Formats: sequence, C-alpha cells, structure tokens
Amino acid sequence: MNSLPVATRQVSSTYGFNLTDDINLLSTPPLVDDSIKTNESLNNVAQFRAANEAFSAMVMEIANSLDEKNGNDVLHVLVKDLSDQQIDGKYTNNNHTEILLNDESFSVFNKTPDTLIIPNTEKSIANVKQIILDELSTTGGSITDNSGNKLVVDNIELNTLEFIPDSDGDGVRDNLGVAQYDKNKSEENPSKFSVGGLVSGLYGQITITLNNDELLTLTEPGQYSFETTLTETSPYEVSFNTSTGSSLQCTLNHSSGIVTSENINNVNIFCHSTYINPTCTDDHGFTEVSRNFNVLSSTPTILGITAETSAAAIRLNETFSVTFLQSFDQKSISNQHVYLVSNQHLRFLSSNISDRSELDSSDNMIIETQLGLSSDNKTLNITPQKSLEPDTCYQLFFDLADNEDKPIKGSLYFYTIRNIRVKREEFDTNGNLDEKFSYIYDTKAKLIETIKWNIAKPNAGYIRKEDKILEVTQNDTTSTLQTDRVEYILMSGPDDPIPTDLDIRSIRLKKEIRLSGGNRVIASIGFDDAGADMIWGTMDDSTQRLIGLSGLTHYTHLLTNYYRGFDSWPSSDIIPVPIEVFEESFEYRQSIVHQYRQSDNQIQLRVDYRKMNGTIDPITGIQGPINNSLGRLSPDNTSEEIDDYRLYIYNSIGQLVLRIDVNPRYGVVDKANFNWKLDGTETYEVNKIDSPMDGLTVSAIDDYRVYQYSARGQLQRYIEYEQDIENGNPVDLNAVEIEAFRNSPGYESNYITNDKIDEEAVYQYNTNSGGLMTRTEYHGPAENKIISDIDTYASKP
Amino acid sequence: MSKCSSTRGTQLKHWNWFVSKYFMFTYFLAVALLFFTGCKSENSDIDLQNEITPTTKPKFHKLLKGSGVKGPLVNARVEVFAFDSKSIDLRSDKALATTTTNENANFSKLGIGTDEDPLNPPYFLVITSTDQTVDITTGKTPVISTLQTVITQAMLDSNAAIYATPLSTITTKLAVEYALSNSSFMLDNSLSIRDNF
Repeated sequence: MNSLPVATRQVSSTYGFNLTDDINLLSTPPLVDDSIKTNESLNNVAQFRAANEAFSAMVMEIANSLDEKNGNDVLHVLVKDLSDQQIDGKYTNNNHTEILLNDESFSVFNKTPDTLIIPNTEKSIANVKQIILDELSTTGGSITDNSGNKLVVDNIELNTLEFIPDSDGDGVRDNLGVAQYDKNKSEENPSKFSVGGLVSGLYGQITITLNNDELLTLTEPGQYSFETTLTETSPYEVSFNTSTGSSLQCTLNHSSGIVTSENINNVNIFCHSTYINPTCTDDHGFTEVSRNFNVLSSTPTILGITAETSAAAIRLNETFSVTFLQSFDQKSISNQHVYLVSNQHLRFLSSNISDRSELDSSDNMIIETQLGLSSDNKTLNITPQKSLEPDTCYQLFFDLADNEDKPIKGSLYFYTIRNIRVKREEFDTNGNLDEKFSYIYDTKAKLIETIKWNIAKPNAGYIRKEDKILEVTQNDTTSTLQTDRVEYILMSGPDDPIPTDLDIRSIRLKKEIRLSGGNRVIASIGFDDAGADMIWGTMDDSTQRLIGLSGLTHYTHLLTNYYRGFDSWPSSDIIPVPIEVFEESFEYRQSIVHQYRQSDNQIQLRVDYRKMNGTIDPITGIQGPINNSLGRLSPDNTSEEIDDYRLYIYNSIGQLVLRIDVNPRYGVVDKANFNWKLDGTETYEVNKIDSPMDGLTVSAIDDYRVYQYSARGQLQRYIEYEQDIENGNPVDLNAVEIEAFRNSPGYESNYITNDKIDEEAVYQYNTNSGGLMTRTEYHGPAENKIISDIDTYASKP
Repeated sequence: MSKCSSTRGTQLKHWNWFVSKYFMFTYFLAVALLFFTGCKSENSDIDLQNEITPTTKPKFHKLLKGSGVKGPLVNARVEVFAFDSKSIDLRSDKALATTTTNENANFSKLGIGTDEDPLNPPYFLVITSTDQTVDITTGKTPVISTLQTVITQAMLDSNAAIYATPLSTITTKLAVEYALSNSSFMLDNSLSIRDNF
C-alpha cells in the first residue's frame, strides 16, 4: 500500500470532516475554475473549500492556544498526531507516548465545524458558499454549465471531525471491523468476513458471483476474494456467472456454506484447457510450453519435471528424454507409436487428438521418432526422424503399453528453441532508454526491479537497489536515535583500488544514523562487498562521499549477498547504540540455502535468494511476496553440510533461523511420504501447495543456458551462453552463473529507437502506459551454432 | 570474439551522425558566408538570416496551472520540486520551476519536463507566502504560510489545474512521514521510497 493514498483517505476521513468519496483532497478544485460545469462539481468545490476553511480555523485556534503564530507548526503537530492512526493529541509508538496537545488545544476538535470563524475575518464557515461566489470577480470563472444555465450551490453542511481514520476507505473506522486496517471487532459493528479462494489453471477470464450479487472477473491464477464481506452465520454461494466457454473448463470446490468466525478462503476454482493450445507462447512472447497436458492413463514427466505445470523446451536436432513412472513393454516401443505433430498442423484440428488415425490423412503432419529405452524401461529417448522447426510448438503423442500391456496414451507439448542469444534494452515507462536507470519488468508489465547505473564511477560497474531503504528493528536504548536505516547497494568493480574515501554509491551496505528531531544524516557505515570487513566514516553531504574511512582492509569483487553483523558501533564520531540488525527482517538473513538429497546425503540444490522480501511461515514455508528472486542451482557432489530435502535459512551471523521442507518448484514436501531419489528409481510425493509459491523463482542451468521460471513454473526467459562447440568443452557453470545472475551488468545500447518492427528484435510495450518497455534482439544462429559476436553484457561506460 | 556485428548499428548511426554533421556544417558555413556578404538566395525570397535563427528556449512537456487556496492567494511564490528519496522531505533541493500567482490568484504556464529532464512524477507543488502575498478571502496575510500538494501522473495526464490547500498540505506531510518512517504500518519494505510513496 502506498503512503499517499492512505494519507489521503486518513486525512479525508478525519481532518477533512469525513468528506464524501467524490471529493479528492489532491484533485478537487477548492475554488470555481473552468472545469466546474455541473451542480455536482460546484457543490464539491463548496464542500471542499468549507472543509479547508474549517480545518484552517481549527489550526489557527490551536495555534493561538499554544501561542504559536505560524499555522505550519501546528500542521506538523497534527501530522504526528494522526500518524499513529488516532487523533487524541498524543503520539504513541512502541508503548512510548508523547503529549502533543493540551486539553484546551484538543478541545478545538470538538467544535461544530459550521460555527468556526474563518481566521482573520468575522465570517463563519457557513458563509463559504457566498465567499466562493463573491471571489469570482477576482479569480475569474463562471458558474454556468455548457448550455449557459446557471449552476446552483446547496447549503454546506460539514460533518463533525472524526478522531479515528478510515485508512482503507471501506466505510469502517480503523478501530472497527476486520478489514485491512480495521484492527478490532465490535459488537455494535458486527465482524464481517470475506469469501474467496484460489483459482488455478486459468487463462483468459471467468466471471463468478457471490450470492448472485457481486460479480468478480478473474483473469489470472492465484488468490481471489470478493469485496463483499458477510457477517457470521450468513450463507454464501459462489457460482459461475458466465459460461467458461468450450476452450476452458472450470469447477468450483466448496462453493457454498455458512460463514463462521473467519474469512472463507477455500472456494477454490480449478480450470483446465479443453483444446490444443495453438501457440505454445504466452502473451508476452516468452517461450512456454502449453499448460494443456492431455494424459489419458498415466502421468509422465519430462526430464524429471512433472509436466502438468512446468515448461519444457528442447533444442533442435537433439535426442530428448521423457521419463514415465511406469515401465514400458519393449514391444510397444518397437512399434514406434510415439510421434510428433507440429502446432502448424495442430491448429487446424478442432479437438483433442487421442489416436494416430486422426492424423494419418496427411503424412506431412506426422514426424516419426526413433525410440530408445533406458535400462529401467521408464525413460524414452526420443530422436525425431525429421528436423524440427525452430521456435515451434510440437505435440508429442504416446500410444504405448506398459509391462502389463495396459495402454499408456497421452500427449504433451514442448517448444523448440534454437540457439539464440538475447540482449535486452530496458526502457523507462515513457519509452525512453534511461541513462541512469534500467527497468526490469515481469511478464505482466509490472516493474520488478530498477537498476541504477553507477555514472560516477565508470569502471565500477553497476549499482542495484540504491534507493532501497530497508527498515531495521532496533533496540533503541537511548532516546537520541530516532531513525536507523540500511541501504543495500550492490556493485561490481574488480579492479577498484582500495580508496581512502569512497563514493557511497559503491558501498554495498550503508547505514545512516539520523539524530532525533532532525533527519540530517550524520554518519554512514558501510561494509565492503565481502561483508567481512566493516568500514565507516562520515558522509560529506556536498560530495556524497564517505570521508575519514577506516577499517577498510578488504575490498574485493566477491558478491555473495552475505551480510555480516557487527557487535557495536564504532565509538568515535557516532553514538554507540546496540542494534539487532538481523532479528526482525528476513532481509538480513543468510540468502544462500542448500538442499540435500536423502539418498546419499549429497548436496542437490543450492539456491541464492536475492530478494527475500517476504516472510517465512514456519509451517507452510515461504510466503510472498518474494517476487522475482534470482536463484541458481549448484552442481552435485559437494561435501558441504548434509541433510535431507530441506532448505535452511541462516541469518547473517550463521545462526540457523528456519528450516523449510520444500520443493522449490512445486510446493512443500510431505516428509511422511518423502522418498525421492534423483536417479528416478523411486517415486516421491510432493504435496502441491494450494497457491503457487509466489515469486519463488529458480533458475536451472543446463549446458549453456540459464532458465528462469516464474513462480508458477512457467519459463519466463532464458539466457544463453557461449559454448565451445568446436572443442566440445562444456560451459563453466560456475562462471556462467556468476556472469549471468550475479554480476551481469546488463546491456545498454547507445541509441534510442522508436522502431516497432525489426526482423531480429522484439519490442515490448508497457500495457499500462504504452511506453516501450524492453527491446530484445534475437541473433539467430547459423546452422544451430551459437554466435559469439554479441556483446551482450557490456559493462556500462 | 568479434564485436563487429554487435556494434554495427552504433557504427551506422555514427556514420549517419557524421554525414549529418558534415552537411549541417556545410550548410551553416554557406549560410554564414551568405549572411556576411549580404546575399540572398537568387531563387527565393527566403531571408536566410531569419531562417537560421536558433531556438534555445526549452520545450516543456507539461505546462502547469493552478493556485494556492486557503483563501485564494495573490502574489505567492510557486515552486515545483522533483521527488528525491534522499531528502528529508522527499523534495529536491532546487525547484524545477518557479513562478508567482498573479492578481487573479492563479498561476499558469509553469513548465516541467524537457527532453533532457523528462517528466518523472510525483512532483511537489509548494506555494509560499511572501510579504506581498494576500489571501483574498481575508484581505490579509495568509495564516498558513506554506501550502503544498503532490502532483501525480494522473494529475499530469488530466491537465487539470493543481491546487495546494491546507488539507492537501497535511496530506502531503503525512504521506511523506509514512514513506520515511520506520514504523509505518502500510509500507512494503521490498519497494523503494518512491514506490512506497
């Protein structure tokens, strides 16, 4: 929730004398201007102006009672009073109460607004109606509509001042009800509860209704909730308002019942496609395997990934594998009943294809395959007998039998990827290639990250999250420390010498101490990139540099996202205050977790969490938002810590904070049924979580690509790296990882283009503003070889 | 690793730039010669001297209008500030644009946003009383000397007048307080101050 709309609603519902919703404190005119053409807008002007005059009158009466001459000082007091969500003449925070107004001053708020006298006049607020008409002779404007008819102003009636705001604008004061900011329940105002649940598998949109009253249109999977809230014992019934159409089938679960004493959140909607996905591509052009997976009698997995929700892609001219849970009869394999049909052909077919005979009308439709079978008879090695087209969706049909001669029929989709390297140009929301910032958007055009380039230090690479101010909970044992902030700044700069003074933007972690009563920064403390050493100094406001640095002994290019704690502040220059940096916020906890397989206690997964902004629920695991966290998988066979299939969260001083049993791709591992080995010889069970693991993004590395998946398992993008094909050398995965996700300074072109169409580039536009968002250049391969002359990640000068 | 293809676009643009500059230079050289020799084109009546007069006035992307109103304020200083997350009041040190309300208590044509400094809301509009400022409702000096409001993208898009009032002032102050406060209850710590504002 942003502060401006909350502040607007709070002021409007309190100091604004509970103005109506159609009056906005920031945009409603307080005088008659040329936009006023209706009686309604004119009355809004009068009402808003009267509220301003009444508020000003109260401000000045309070100022007089406090012997203040300047109303601005009183405004400062009133801001502080309301900032604890209650007007009571006090400011309360963490059990500490500060008296702001004495009884005489506070009594002003109890006056009837209409009786207040406009300061420096003898006129009451009731005269505002005439005042705004009289001042037209000075300010200009008229009170006629577009037809020349004279507008009419009603008598002004202000409500009395309310002391408790309605922060969320739901019509319920914050001390009542149970909505977002409504803190308590009240017998006089019975508690109301929301109705909602989870929708999965949705594409397109569906409209549902609550008790045949409120309509709600859903456009994407995830949690939903009706705005209507119901009291306890109320019946509820959720139903589809419109047919979902022939291409999408949805069912409702727990669709009706009686409201008890808590929100209803299990009205779940399950949707699935009923037709062949024509494109294999999502709305934003990212490659993605169809969500539609037609399985008739088995649940195959692709490359070890359960196919139902995940993406899969194969390279051209390669043998690829599909692993099944069942064993196959060798005879069914020899019958060659596995074949491919490209989407080019499938799009002309109207319904599910379950039998080869439906395709035989055209030989060109079918691409036969040569099959191999693994030693356990579960994994098919499939080699197409005809070159596949790049960037094409194929459907792979199975018509096989297991070792008991039971049919295994079904199909799945995959997308062919050619060897493409991608470079991206990021634009701001106005479509401008910003010299200072790069913007990263997700597939929903939501800005997920802003990168600020280090203009001041050309050789220092780039800076991330410079504006990211993180709040720290502290043990404030003195009364002098008012605000404590930590600013994380990532940078690269392997060749930087150890400086004696430092551009603060190149320090990775900076703390600012601000004195009570003033917000001026008096000192900053930074850690170097390794996190092992602490440096400190005072900040020169004029140059934005830290000066008088000491303690800096180690200054490297190491980017581990590992933040060390510190026991105490340096004694000189700054106030010694014990601060528990790592206790309250997940931001400061260790960001690298390891996952180990049970079979041989070897490390199986390592995930670097880069943006752990969410909270951790010890029971259910990670709770969002942890959007767009970049992560990586490490190779096997390390002798690091040993345990089974779990994630361990450590804080920055090495203490175990939390353990999560989790499948990073699908959900929480059920320990009772956990029996997974990576070689596939045993089954395993993973309890899918009801909702997608919001934002948990894991990137996997194959030979020369890094894949990044959305929280729902959809392939969002991949980055391809040069492979030494001629010599057959594999890509150095560690180097790739570091190059790709740890230290990539990104790409920036030297020009701005407004072109929309290019043979080798795709332009993405922000769906909200229409501004150019990204430009992605696709440099196609020659003969499936990776070209190597693209300066994809040139460091910004 | 060759970088030829990757920089081809840039090189081409550099070539275009060079060609463009070359002809521009030639053009201006010719024009200058004509000017100093008092010549005009023989085939037209175009006055080349006027034709080449450079325009240096910045072209603003948005021209603001509005007023400061407790009562409407005459002769008040009007300033627009950029958003600066490092500032204690989230306002830039220097105003982007400045003007004064006129005898009708309004201001207009207050330009913000240029090609060099594109629009980047939110902005803060601050109206400050001076010795000459009069509240026309009272005929006297305003009782609240500084009024302010926030200019959002939506407000820029609407092209409506921008008004700073006592209620917009306390709203702005409260929003700034929340955005900067470490005890704020509604902020998302994953977002920047700007995004939280």
